[in-house]
Amino acid sequence: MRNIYTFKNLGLSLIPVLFLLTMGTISGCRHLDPAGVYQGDQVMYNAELITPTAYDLLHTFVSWEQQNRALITKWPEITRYADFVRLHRKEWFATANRLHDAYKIDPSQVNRDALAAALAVLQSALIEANGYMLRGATQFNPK
Amino acid sequence: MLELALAILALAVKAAPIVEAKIKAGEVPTDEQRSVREQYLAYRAAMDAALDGPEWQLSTAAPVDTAINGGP
Repeated sequence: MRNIYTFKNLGLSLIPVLFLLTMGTISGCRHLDPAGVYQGDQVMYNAELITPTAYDLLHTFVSWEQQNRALITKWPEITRYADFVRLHRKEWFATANRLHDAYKIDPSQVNRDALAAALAVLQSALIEANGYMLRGATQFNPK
Repeated sequence: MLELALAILALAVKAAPIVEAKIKAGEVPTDEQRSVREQYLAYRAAMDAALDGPEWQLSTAAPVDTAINGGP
């Protein structure tokens, strides 16, 4: 059996660490230096932090699933969820991008709530994908 | 290669307390904000093409459930 921890898959072993660091940063109540490019706008900062992070991790997830599909047949739900992400990717990111732009033009409560909802969808997908990668990494036990 | 992997992992673990300390301090310095903005702009510029790679193709031609347990 091939070892899932090949160099090609090194990124996988770091995903949980990077994910925790990133999510800790995202979810923390950190104040922005008002002299920064966001001028203290926490909503815009969170949006611009979460969206590329979600893209990177979901891209890592679907790539990993594709490369290791033959090895993870024991967990068909992983491939099912990867396909779910693939199916909705454009809708999720286009929505987040559109609502980011809407909030940038008009930072109203309505636009803020809509943006928060779109980001919550991405975060939810990210957490789910991370869980599957963790499962694949920890339960695979080559002889 | 294993040594490299371990070294990178050690660096990530070593960085964790530093990141945690910054979170507790509640500070996002201007250079970090600028970095987030630059990464976001790069993401937006590459977004359309980035979502069309082969890794994004469905594993099967069969329809995928639109509501998976635990899915968003």
